Amino acid sequence: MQRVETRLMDTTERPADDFLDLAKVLLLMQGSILVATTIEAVIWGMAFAGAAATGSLLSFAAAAVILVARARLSADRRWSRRLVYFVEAFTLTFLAVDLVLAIALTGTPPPAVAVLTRFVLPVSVIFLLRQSARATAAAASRGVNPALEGAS
Amino acid sequence: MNLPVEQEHAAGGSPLYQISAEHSAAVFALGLLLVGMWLLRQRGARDLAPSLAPADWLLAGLLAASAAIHAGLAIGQDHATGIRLLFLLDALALGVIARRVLAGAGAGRLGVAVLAASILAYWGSALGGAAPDQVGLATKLGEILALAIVVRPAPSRRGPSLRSVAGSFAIGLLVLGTATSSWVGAFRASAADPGAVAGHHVHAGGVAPPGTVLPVVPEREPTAAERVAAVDLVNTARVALARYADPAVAAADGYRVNGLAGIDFHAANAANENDDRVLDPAHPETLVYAVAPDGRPVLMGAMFLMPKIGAPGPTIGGPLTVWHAHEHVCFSLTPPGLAGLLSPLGMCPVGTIDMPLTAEMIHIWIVPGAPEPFGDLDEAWKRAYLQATATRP
Repeated sequence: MQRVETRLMDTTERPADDFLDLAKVLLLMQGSILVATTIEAVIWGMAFAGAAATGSLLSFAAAAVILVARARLSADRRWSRRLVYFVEAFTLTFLAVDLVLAIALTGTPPPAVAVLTRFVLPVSVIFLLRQSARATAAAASRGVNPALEGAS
Repeated sequence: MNLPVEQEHAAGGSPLYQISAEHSAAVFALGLLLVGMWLLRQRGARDLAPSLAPADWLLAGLLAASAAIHAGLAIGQDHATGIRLLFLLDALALGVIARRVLAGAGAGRLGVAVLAASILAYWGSALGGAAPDQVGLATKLGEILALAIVVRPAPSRRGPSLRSVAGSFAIGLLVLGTATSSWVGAFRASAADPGAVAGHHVHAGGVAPPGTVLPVVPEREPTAAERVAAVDLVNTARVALARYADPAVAAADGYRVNGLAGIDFHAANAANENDDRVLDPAHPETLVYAVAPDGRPVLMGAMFLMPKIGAPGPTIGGPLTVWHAHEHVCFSLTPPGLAGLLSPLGMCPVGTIDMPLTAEMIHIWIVPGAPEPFGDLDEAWKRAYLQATATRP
């Protein structure tokens, strides 16, 4: 019990910028993957006559949202966090569908890289942004400027 | 995650979506590292570097994981001595950098150089025709993430500097280059076995192209009876399908011919897909049309689909009539249709679903002179045939 409490304290006492810093790196990675996915979707669209353009458009939109939100991400910008949460929730929902299909049809989970890029990455980003928001709120309640907290 | 499949039928999926057997030692080494880290943590190793930021913890973990995987590759017996030595050097360098990060010294220029070299070496290997697999891809994505952590700008209240923008752009290029080289590697590796594309089968040691599951067929000639059965099947199909030369007749029988275009248009029939008939030449699940240069639709053949996923198709012509399946095909729901193949980066286009496996299928090409009546019809041959059809009065 004591160990659990210690671990919780370890995270909640981290400066908000530390979590935001790592979240931005993960978002850059995710945005880059989405850009590559958009390019692939466009190429598939040219290769297969009649391939749906929706995938290219949605991939481009997701890449743009992630990269713009990453650039605007800061402790006091709630809308950019909400945009990221929306894209991550969308990604996780489709992964859930794919997971059910994979288990039902082949009895195996999706490939390891798909699990990393579509589960571990989004969940990590959500976790880090939430920790950052909590650390910011905790610092504000103590009357500390979150931007200066890490420098002390 | 997807281990190599060992089935009589549809045994040869692309290594792109699997863990190659030759990378088992690397996976084992990674497992040992994770167990070791858990044991250290239990013994209070967390206090060794309490002041590290989360990004540095992740960086050290990624470097150590990559070092363990490269050490596993060096220990495994599946590569030439020179390559194993390079793996070992990479593992040592990554291990040293991980230790430096844990000590709070940062990865520095050595870290950037080693990570970049490791990623570029992977590109070279894939572009050279080595089949990429899930272990290689996951390792490279981990290394790119590690590099992104190393080159990230210090938190600042000012806007992004030119250096940070350049760094972000470089990370984007590394991700794109890794995906591109992996596609090239996967397709080049399959092209090494001509049967993988033309005959829709692979021989021992060959690999399937991404998205296709091909059975491993022993190298033997078909028997006389198998040859007769295969020829009979094509001739029966020619007679039975002749009426569908007119797409209007096909439409009346339930084939979706709307939007007929290109030289490989598959018109499916939902009723036939659910009628439980197997390889019935009079009731194919899909008709395949091509549009000739003069705009006339030409019936090229038909595609027959097994009623259930995993059910093996009847190979009545032995090695001449080999069935195949497709794996990790991305399907769009809005509107319904094919949207591509699962990317080496693990993504389908956003808003589409990943169909992990389809039912087995076989094509029968009824056009006279088709070089592979049951395999893949060569595009150049198809275009030449259509051109000749168009110039006919």
